This record gives sequence, C-alpha cells and structure tokens, in this order.
Amino acid sequence: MIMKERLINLLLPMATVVILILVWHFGIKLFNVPAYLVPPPLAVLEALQRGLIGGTLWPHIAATVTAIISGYLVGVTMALLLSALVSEFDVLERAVYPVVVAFQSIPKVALAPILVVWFGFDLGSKVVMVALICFFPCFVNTSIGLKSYNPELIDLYRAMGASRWQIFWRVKVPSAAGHIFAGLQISVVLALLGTVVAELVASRRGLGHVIAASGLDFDVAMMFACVVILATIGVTASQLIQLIHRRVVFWESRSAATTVVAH
Amino acid sequence: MSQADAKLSLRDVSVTYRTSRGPLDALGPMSIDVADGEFVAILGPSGCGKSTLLKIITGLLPPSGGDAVLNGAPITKPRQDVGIVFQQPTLLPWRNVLDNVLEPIRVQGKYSQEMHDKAIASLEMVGLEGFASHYPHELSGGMKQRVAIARGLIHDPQLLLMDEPFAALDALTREQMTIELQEIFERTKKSVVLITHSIPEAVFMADRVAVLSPRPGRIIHVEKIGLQRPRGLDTMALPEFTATCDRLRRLFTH
Repeated sequence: MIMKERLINLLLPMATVVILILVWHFGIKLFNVPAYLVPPPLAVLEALQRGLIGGTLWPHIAATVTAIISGYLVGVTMALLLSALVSEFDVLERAVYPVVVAFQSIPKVALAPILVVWFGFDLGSKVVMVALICFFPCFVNTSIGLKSYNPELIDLYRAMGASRWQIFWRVKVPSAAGHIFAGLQISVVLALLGTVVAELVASRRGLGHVIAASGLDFDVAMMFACVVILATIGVTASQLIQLIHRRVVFWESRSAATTVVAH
Repeated sequence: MSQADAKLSLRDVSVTYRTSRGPLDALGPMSIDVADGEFVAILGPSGCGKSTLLKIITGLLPPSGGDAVLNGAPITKPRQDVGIVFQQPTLLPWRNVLDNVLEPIRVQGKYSQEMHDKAIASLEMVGLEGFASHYPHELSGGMKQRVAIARGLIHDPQLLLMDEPFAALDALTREQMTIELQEIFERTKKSVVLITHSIPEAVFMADRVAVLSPRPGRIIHVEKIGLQRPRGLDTMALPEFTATCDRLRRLFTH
C-alpha cells in the first residue's frame, strides 16, 4: 500500500511535466510561434545533445557546479559560525543581528558588478556572490533554531553540572538541527541563483555565460538547454539536502520541522 | 533530628525577585530538613514557589536569604549529586533510551562498561527491559517518564528531586506509576523530595508531607505519615490513609 502510494507520488508530477511539454510542443505549432523566440521541445533536446554528447557544455557545467559548491560552503560555514556566536553571546547578538538584517535588505544582485571589480572574473567573484546570497537564510534559521531548545532540558543539564560547551553541543545544536537544515535547503537554491547572476554579469565560463553568449547568437534552443541543466542541478542539490535532512534529523517528522523562508 | 544529620537542610530560605513593580516575595522564609533515606513530599497549590524551591535545591538559583545545605556542603552552584525528574520527561529525542539514561554519566565524563550495565539494570528496574535501543518518540508518556526516573537515579545521587513527575500522565498511568515509584524508592532507599499538588500521591509515597501556603510559599503544616511500608494498593484503602488525606485537604479549604 505504501509502495503504491510512493509510486503514485512519483508518477503524478512526472505526468504534469509530460503534459506541460505537450502543451509547449503543440502550443508553438498552434500559434505559429517562430523558433527563434520559443524553440520547440525537440530543438532543446537537440541542443542538449549537441552540448552534452558533443562535450562543449561540460567545462561550463563544471565551472558552474564548482562555483555553487564553493560559494555555498563558504556562505553556509560563515552563517553557522556567526549564528553560533550570536546565539551564545548576548552582546554580540545585539551588536550584529540588526546589522545583518539591515544588510539583507540590500538586493545583493546589485552588488554583482562591484564584486567583479573587486574579485575579478570567474571563480573569485562568483564565490563571493554565492556566499553573500547563501548567508542570510542559513544565518537566520540557525539563529532561531539555536534558541528553540526546551528550557527545562537546559535546567536539567546545568543541574547535572554540564559545561556551557556541553550544553551547546549536546542540547542546543541537535535541537536546532531541523531549523539548520531548513536554512541549508533555502540556501542551496539561492546558491544556484547567485552563481548564474555572477556568470551573466561577467564571466568566461559557466552556464550563465553560455546563456548570455547564446543570446547574442540568437541560439535560443541552447539557452533553454542551459536552463534545463540548471534546473536539474537545482533539483538534485535540493533533493540531496532533503535526503540528508531526513537521515540526520530522524526524530522530527517532516511536518514538524518548521521552515523560515527568508525570501 | 538535628541539622547535622540531615541529607538536605533548608534554613530560613527565602527568594525575592526584583520586578519592575518592586520586590516580589516568591518563597519563604521556610525551613525543612530531609533525613538520609527519607521521602518528603512538598504539597502546595500552583504558584506557591514550588519551582523556585526546586531551583534552589538544584543550585540553579541562589536563595536571597537563608542557607541551603546538601550532604554537609552549602549549595552554591549546580552540583552533580542531585537527580532530577521533571513534570515533562525532557528526554533527548535524538538519543535512544539507553543513551538518555547514560547522559548524566557522559556529561560528567564517567562512562564505563560498568555504568552501561548499571543503566541496563536500572531500565529493568523501571520496567523497560528490551527498550534500550528505542527512541523517545516510540514510547508512551508513562514509558518516557520511566526513562526520566532511570536517568535521575543513574549517577547515584544523594538526593532525588521530583517536580510533579506524573502530572502530565493520564489518571490510570499516574496511579500505576505512583505505586511503582514507591517500590523503587523502597529498593533504592534514596532521599527524595517530591513536589506535587496531589494529596493522595503525597500521602501514599512520603514519610512526611510539608504543606506550602500560596505565594510567598511558607510551610504551614508538616504531617508525619505513619502508614506501614511497603505500601501498595491496599494502603490506599486503609481508613488511616483516607483520614490523613482528608486532614490535609481541609488545610486548603478553610
């Protein structure tokens, strides 16, 4: 019964995708949309084949994935460290938290050209861009998580003679795990966004660069192909985090884990 | 009993909180001694400063006045020789039953094979043999509270402190747990302070029942319970039991 439910849950969204592709395919024919505006699904498939089997896209995919992973790791690490400090030291919280929140209201995409000036083309500016975008959701969720412990548990541990360090690692961090993963989940999707923005602005490598360059060549099918690859990367990364989330935070049901969406 | 013989001794202990509307007397002054191996129940209405009292005995809150002495040494900060059982089981959901019981040992850096075996034995004592590798979310409320009791006793504390341990359980489980805790107490001979607002629970388990007044909590009456041990279901049917409960109940309904 459960297996059947799972199968249906897998098949239903796939059916939706198939229907959307059919609508796309026949819609173009029906309304006579020229292929240089919206390429038919088969042309996108052909572009994908050209790029993936021909091999021209792989260096760009590698560049994009490298930027996503390194920027994500940098941003998330900083967010975890800073939220740990802020949650443990009240003075820091009052000094830093409002500034971070204020900083969040800057549209970081607008910083992309500045970052290129500072950190140059390619990896440097991409990593900084991604790290900046990833930072906030992870920081906010972890900060909330580190305060969502059961106060009686803290009393109990203090009464046992536990040190502050022990309370932090044994009680506060595991209590925050659900929130931390919610932050990691939001950040990983934003990492993709940050990478593509940086690549669109100025880069010689990466899928964002291919999209920009193909635009100049009016190769709309290739632009679509890049979007399909980006979507695949995004879904894979997001699913991966979700899988790890469920494995690590096994004691919380998925409905109980609260997500604070920062965007 | 002199103060020197007492396991726990509270002398004129009081707590005053400073609030924006001026000082608020939360507790006392009150005095009570708990002898070695004695079971004392502290009975009081909600808001009589019971949780404040708990914090003083565990060393989480220094009293504003008076002295709190445990095992001959003043309680100035949290110490490792008190076991606590709260109203809620407060287990770690990410640790299995055995590891939850062993937490105080691990925190105090005293883990050994011996302690592991002791934890298994204490799970048997609270009727949870075979549940060592289960996680808290797989247990009922009563079973979780049994884990909490086993955890409270694992590091062989001088004093077991219980704050309305069965208040969150349903009536049937509660009665069963009361009888079982009574048996555990008779086997381990620990000094116990039970904070409760159930008169029958206090009378059934305790050697002495101290009745607290509403805020600021002061001891208005101490009742010595002469009921023969071991106590069981039959005890609750004794006229002496009923009469004692009735006498205490009248203290609250004057």
